[in-house]
Amino acid sequence: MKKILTIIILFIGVLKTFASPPNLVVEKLFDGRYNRNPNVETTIFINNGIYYRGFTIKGDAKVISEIRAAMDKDLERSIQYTFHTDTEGSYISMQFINNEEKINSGLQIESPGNGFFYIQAKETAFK
Amino acid sequence: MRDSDSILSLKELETLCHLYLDCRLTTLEEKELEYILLNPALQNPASGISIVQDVKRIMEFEDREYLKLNRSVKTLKGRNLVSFKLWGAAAAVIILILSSMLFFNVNDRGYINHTNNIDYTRQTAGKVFCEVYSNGRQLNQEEALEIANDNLKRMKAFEEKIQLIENEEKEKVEKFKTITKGMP
Repeated sequence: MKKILTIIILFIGVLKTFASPPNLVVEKLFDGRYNRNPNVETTIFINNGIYYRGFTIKGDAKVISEIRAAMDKDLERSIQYTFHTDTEGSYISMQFINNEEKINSGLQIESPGNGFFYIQAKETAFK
Repeated sequence: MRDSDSILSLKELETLCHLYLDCRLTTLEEKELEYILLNPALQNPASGISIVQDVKRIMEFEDREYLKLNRSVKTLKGRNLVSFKLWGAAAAVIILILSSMLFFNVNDRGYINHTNNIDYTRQTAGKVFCEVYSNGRQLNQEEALEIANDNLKRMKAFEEKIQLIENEEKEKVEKFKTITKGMP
């Protein structure tokens, strides 16, 4: 019985390794928690195999800091990271690879509490 | 062996006991001897022959051991069955949890990841999926598409800006390399 159990668990593990979703921390922010938040505009858009998800935040510093914290957790997995600040605001850009597809993620903080965040890639990158 | 109804002399009984101890009786004959030894006339050890008493003690001992062995085998079988059922139930629960986690992709906060709620089959015919929440309410498809397009434009502008920044950084690095090329 123990052997059978081990085989089953290994089999499930192997199944999960092939074509598994990236499970990025930033992705988890799109579980619907901000749908009823009047300060956040949530967008999910799929067209021609391109999968886009984004937030437009107006006057909610807490949400911005939550997004930053999630991005920080994903930093280790990113293949490219860019941070820039100028008069228009701060820019954080990250890129990931999953299922051999590139995932782009970015956060623009225009002013404290106001910003724009997105994550976008081919659908196959998230499956 | 003679029938138990027949009258056995003490000498014959003694011979049978010797045969029993030498393991020369069949199982059936042993049982018959056991039956004969249950005779009340042979119950008093003082009245009996010593070999008969020895055989009786051996038979009682064997019976006890047989009973013990039988009981322990039954217990072992019961335990194996319980353990098998327990492992089976544990396996079923583990498989159920793992498969449901794989299916629903539950995140660490206990939410079901939103991506799983999207019916991907809707995209196959080239249709567009668009869902937008603004001011705490879900917008209709027309409004949602308008906002989604604005977002895509904004994302494009963001990526162009990042590309520009990265190019500038590369140029700076190249410039620095050129300046410091001849330096020791």
